[in-house]
Amino acid sequence: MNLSDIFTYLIVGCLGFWLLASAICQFNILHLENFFRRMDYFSLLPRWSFFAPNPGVTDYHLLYRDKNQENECGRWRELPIASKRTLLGAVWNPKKRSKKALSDAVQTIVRSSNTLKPSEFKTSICYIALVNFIASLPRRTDGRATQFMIMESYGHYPDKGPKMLFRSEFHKI
Amino acid sequence: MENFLNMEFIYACMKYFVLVGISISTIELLYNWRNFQDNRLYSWKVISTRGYFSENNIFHKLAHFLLKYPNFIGVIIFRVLVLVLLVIPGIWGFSQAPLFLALVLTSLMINYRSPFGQDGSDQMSTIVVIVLFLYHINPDNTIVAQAGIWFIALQSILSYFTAGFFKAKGDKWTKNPNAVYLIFNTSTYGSKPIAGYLQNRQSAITFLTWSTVAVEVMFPLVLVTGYPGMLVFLGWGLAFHLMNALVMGLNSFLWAFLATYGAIVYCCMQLSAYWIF
Repeated sequence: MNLSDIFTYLIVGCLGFWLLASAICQFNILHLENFFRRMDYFSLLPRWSFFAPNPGVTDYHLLYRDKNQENECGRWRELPIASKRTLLGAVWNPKKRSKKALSDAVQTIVRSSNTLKPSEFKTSICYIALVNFIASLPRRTDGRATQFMIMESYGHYPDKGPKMLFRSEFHKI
Repeated sequence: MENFLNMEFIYACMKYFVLVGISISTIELLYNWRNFQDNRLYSWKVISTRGYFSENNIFHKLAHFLLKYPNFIGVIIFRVLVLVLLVIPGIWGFSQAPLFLALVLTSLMINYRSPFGQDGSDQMSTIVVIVLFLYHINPDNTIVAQAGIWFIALQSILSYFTAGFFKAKGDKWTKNPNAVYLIFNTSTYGSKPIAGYLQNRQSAITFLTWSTVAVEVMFPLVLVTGYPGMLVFLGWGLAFHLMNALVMGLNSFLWAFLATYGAIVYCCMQLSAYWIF
C-alpha cells in the first residue's frame, strides 16, 4: 500500500465518519448528539431541522432603557431585530446576518432564562454579548446603568397583544 | 444529461454555485465590518471568553491573533481576494487546492468566531468547500472524487429529510397545518403582503404546509427516481429556495443548496444504471 492509497482511504473514511456523525446529530441516535456537538468548535456538524418541529411564529423585540445619576429611568427604546423585506433582499441581504445574530442571542436568553439559574445564564456568552452591545450604543444623555427587555409579538396580523418575556437587571455602563 | 456523469463537470458546477453564495455572504460580512468591533455583538473580547482552549495553547494564541478586531477584517479581505482568484477562469494556472484550503480555513475561522448568527447555508457551504479542497488535491484520484460527490449528495438529502421528519412531528405542520402562514406572518421571516394574501385562504395554506413536509420527507426517493423523475424533486427544491430567498430573505440558501444538486443528479444517474426495470 503506497502513500496515495493511504491518503485515499483516510479521506473516504473521514467523509464516511463525518456523514455518520451528521446523521447521529440530527436524530440523537444512541444519545450521542451532545458528545459530538461538544467537540464541534467549527460548526461542522450541521443542524438541518429548519423551522421544525415548532416553527418561530412570533417576532422578538429587544428594548432598552437607561437610568441616570439621579436614579430616574428613561423611556424604552427598541433595537429592531426584523428588517423590511425587499426584492433585492433575495440576492443581497447584508442586514440578515446581524439581525439573525441579535435574534439568536435574544432567543437563547429567553430559553435559558426558563431553564437555567440566573447565575448560569447571566454569565452565558449571549447575555454578556448583548449587555456589552447595548451598553456601548451611542447615547445622547449620560446614563449610569442600562437595562434591557425582550418582548414577543404575533406578526403582521396578530390575534393577541404583545407580551414581555424577560427583563434584565440594571447593568453599569 | 451525459455531462452529469462526468465528475469534472459536477465539481465545476459545485464550485461555481458555491462560490457565488460564498462571495455574496463574504461581501455581506465585509459590509457589516463594524459588527466585529469590541463594542458590538460579535466582540471578540466577549466571544473569546468561551475558553475552549487554555490560554497557553498555540491554537488559542493563533486564533486570538487572527480573530481579534481589526485583524479579522484582514482575514475577510483575504477571503475576498481568494474568491476573486478562484472565480476568474484561467488566472490560476496551477492547482486550485491552496486556494480552496485558504477558503476552508477562513470558513472555519468565521464559524469559530460566530456563536450566533450562522445558518444552514453557512454549514452547507463549508461542507461543499471542504469537499472541493479534497478533490483539488488530486483531481485524478477518482475514488476520492466519487466519495466527495456521494458525501455531498447524501448530506443534501439528509438535510431535506431531517427538516421534513421533524416538521412531521410538529402540530403546526400536520395536525393544524398553518405553519407556512404563521411563518410568513412574522416580520422576522415573513412578508406582510404574502401573509395578507394567505390570511383567509386555508386551502392554500394547507397545501403549502403539507406539500413542504411531504416533499422533504420523500426527498431521499430522488436517488431512485432516475431521469426525468428526479427533476420533480430538484425542481421543487429550486422553487422552494427561490421562494425562501424572495419572501424570507434567505438569499444564501439558494446558492449553497444548488451547489449540491449536481452531486444528487450524478448519484441518481449512477444508481439508475443498476436498475433492471
